[in-house]
Amino acid sequence: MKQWKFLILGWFAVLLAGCATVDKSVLMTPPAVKTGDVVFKTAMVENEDAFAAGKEAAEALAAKLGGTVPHAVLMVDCFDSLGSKKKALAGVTSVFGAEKIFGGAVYGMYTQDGASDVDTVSLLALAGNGLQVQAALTENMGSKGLTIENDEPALSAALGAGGAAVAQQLPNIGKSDLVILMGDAHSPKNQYLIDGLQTVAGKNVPVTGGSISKNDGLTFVYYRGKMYSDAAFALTLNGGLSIGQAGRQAKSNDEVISTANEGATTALKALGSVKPAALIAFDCAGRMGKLDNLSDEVTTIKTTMSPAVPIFGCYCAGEFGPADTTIEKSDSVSTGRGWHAMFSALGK
Amino acid sequence: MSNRKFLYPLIYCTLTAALSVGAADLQIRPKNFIVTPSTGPVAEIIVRNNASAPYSGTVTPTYPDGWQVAPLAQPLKLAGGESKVLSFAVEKGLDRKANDYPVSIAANGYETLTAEVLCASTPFYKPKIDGKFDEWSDAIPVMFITNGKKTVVRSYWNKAQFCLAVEVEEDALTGLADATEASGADAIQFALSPGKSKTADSFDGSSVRYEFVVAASGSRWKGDKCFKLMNSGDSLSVAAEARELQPLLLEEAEVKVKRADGITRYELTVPMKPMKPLRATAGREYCFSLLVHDPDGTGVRDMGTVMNLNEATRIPQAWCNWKFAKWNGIVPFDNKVEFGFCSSVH
Repeated sequence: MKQWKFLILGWFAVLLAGCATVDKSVLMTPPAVKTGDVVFKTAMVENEDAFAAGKEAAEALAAKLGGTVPHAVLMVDCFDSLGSKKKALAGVTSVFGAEKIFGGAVYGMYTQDGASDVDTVSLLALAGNGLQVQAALTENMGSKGLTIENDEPALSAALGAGGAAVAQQLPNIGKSDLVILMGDAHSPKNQYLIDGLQTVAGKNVPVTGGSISKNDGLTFVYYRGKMYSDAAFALTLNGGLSIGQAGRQAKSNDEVISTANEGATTALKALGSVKPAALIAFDCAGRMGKLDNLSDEVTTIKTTMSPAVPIFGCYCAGEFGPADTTIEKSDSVSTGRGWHAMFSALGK
Repeated sequence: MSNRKFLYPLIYCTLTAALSVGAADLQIRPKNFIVTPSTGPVAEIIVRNNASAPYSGTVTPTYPDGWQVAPLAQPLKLAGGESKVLSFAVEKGLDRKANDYPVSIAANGYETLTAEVLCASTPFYKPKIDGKFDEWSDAIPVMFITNGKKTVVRSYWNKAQFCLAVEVEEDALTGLADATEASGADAIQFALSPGKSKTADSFDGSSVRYEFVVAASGSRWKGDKCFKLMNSGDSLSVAAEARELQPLLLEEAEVKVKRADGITRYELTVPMKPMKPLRATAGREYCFSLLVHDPDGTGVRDMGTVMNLNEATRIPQAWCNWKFAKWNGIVPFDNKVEFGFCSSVH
């Protein structure tokens, strides 16, 4: 019954989305070349001047890409005002244009070059002719101001419909190599959003992603270079990728570091003989708060792989990915959780 | 006095903490929740064996109805004089608007301890400092009663500011403009420190805190003012001096003090950037303690009285003296009560 409710609401949302402007349109890049390359590059810049942070990060990313044009760029930032977020976004779009920019507001981030939790933009380029990227947005989900304590039925329906609406716009989402889901649905609400997505995509497709910052006035998802609140998007990756995933929960400094090492190792091992091309981590801001030294988590992650493998991590208000199998069993490949680091190793 | 004058009236009784903590050789203290229970924090319990003989037993906490906490109990072995922190993961917790969480803790051989535990957390928000309190409904209130008079403390943080709103029920307000050596001055005094930091054992040590006093100041001071009593790294020796406030003026602070219906309302921000060691970010623990000076009424009020603290943590070097402060022999609790910075509540 719950699934039908989500599906009906989802189709209704899709009908409404028919009025969407080009900026909100579904992204669909050309099909992946079977033997083609996949390219992942990251760049991160801290700068009190938000526009400069965005522009410098984008320019650094473009330089790393050489002449390769990205299909999409995942952008996260931890500026703490609407004005600075707009400027950061403008800085990034000044280099790559708006159409390719997806992401959201987070609490902190890390790459192979370090970690930051203040005035920073971090970018992940998704590129290569061996990769196909699709993305779709749902906005005005109707979850704003609703709480689990007081409004659980309405909240689960709104977020469930939002998750379903996103998935409905992406053909064959259930056969994706990996789905990246980001939305305005902090833990534990985030389970409702992925529940909705899974009514369309099924429970076997690997999903990762994060809930954007829940800080007042900062709850923004970025989609095609524009900012949306009470919104979510899904971005699918296809191209015969191998995906290794692991989720690990921790609530103390030592456990955050040890589970990061063990989780990253497990995700990388799951690739088998496939060489890793990137490690993506959607991590919990609660875990970040427990770190005595912010860079300790990424430092231990780096020890698990070749320094040539790009790392893109961000601290969110909830995470999507596999539940920590060391503490719970789930009937779904991917879940919405809190206090987790969700690792996805990608290779081809 | 009508409860409606306070946004979130709570019932906290200093007597509860005094009766339930530290009465036996095994001293047990449930720590405050530093993020909201619904986000699944770790509930910590500090246990200290004050006896010379070792202790061996099991500690079994009980949290509010409907909560799921793991493990349900933990074995504990303590040598004489040893203390440990036991951690229990809150797998499912429910927030209570009244911010009162009844907890009981059983340990073999000892009477079960009961206590009201607070969520001592500071949400993200940027309030406008205008003396109105309409933006503070999403802050998590801490209320305490001293000699029948209520104090309600709310806090917010953002990357630029630490923000406070304090409601003080008192018969009269004596600001700095009218204060004399004899009358003393009404004020609030608070201290911020990095999480898990400790106050030095004597006045010979160095400060790890940022301490402020805020008072209605009138035209003599060109508006209500905040004074910085201590920086991290300062010598604690100055804490005992009854210093003049004027040289300690913190120009960057925003302060409004208003009084109506028998309640004095302090609303203020102090800049966060000079306090980098606090490393303010969602989920980060820090220390926050607050006193109210009401010399013509209740005397010194201490928020520490509702934090389940042990009497042994009253130490004179924990708070700075200042001109017009009237302590009347009271030594407040240490200024290192655990709080947390959290994301916005709604």
